[in-house]
Amino acid sequence: MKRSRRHSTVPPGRPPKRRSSPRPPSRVSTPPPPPARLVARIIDESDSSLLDVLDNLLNRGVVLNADLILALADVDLVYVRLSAILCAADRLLPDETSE
Amino acid sequence: MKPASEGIYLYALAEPDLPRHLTVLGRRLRNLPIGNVAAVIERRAPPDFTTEAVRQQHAIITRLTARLPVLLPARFGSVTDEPALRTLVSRHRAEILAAFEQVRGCVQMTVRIFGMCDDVADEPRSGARTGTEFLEQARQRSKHVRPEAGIVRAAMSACVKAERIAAGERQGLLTVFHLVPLERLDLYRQRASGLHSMLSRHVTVTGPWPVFAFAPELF
Repeated sequence: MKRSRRHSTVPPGRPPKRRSSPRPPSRVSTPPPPPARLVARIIDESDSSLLDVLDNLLNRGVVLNADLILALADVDLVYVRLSAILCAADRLLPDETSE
Repeated sequence: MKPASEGIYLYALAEPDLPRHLTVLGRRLRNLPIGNVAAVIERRAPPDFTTEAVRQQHAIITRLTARLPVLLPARFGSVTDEPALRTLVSRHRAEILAAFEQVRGCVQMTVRIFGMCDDVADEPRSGARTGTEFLEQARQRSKHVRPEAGIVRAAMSACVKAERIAAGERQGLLTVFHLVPLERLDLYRQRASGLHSMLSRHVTVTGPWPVFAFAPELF
């Protein structure tokens, strides 16, 4: 009896053994997180009250900006751009207490 | 007079290695490199002076601090144009770079001491008849260091890199801002828990915050 040969893409015989890839070195310890990540974790934990928000952001004063236009009969004559700091006097004195 | 038109709104100064665009809490911020300093800006009109606007800026600065290794927050309402900002940063470059080094790896903690002022030197607005007199008195008051500040300094100096003292308003006697290295934060908290008994006054310690009190005065 004649056997019919089937077309196959699988090569005859056993497949060659795979080369085992070198194992990655086992971790001894997790490296410490970089400072930026540490800051992120710590600062995200804090819960800000209104007092803290105002104190943090406004303690050194605020900058107020305005445009001043002097006009006569709908004709703009003078344009002044104002930028002013509103701040307690003692906040602007040089700080002598820092290291 | 009307509010200023759109300009460059400055949030903070940082080191230059940050992305060109940053989206924080829905606001599209930009990195404007000026030499070895990056200005974190947004093209917009200055915000209205409302609690929401202040809260939002505080939140943006907090998020930025969490992302970047060093950040110096700007004053609320700092609007300028590009040439003026470049000039400003160039003029204060040395001061800004020194501040980067000072605040690197640090956070701000805030100690508030509450109570009425007992001595006359701290009595605010005592008899000033002119603006000059008022400012002169404010200057004298700011030089007067309250004894409580000395106690806080003695207790906390081992875990603090720098401090800034501000006279309190109304019921607040004194506010002390501390710059604390991250590795000393636990020690700081431990020691701060003992301040109440040392001072015999109501004391609150809050933080950690971005280093608002230790950014140089640019504007």
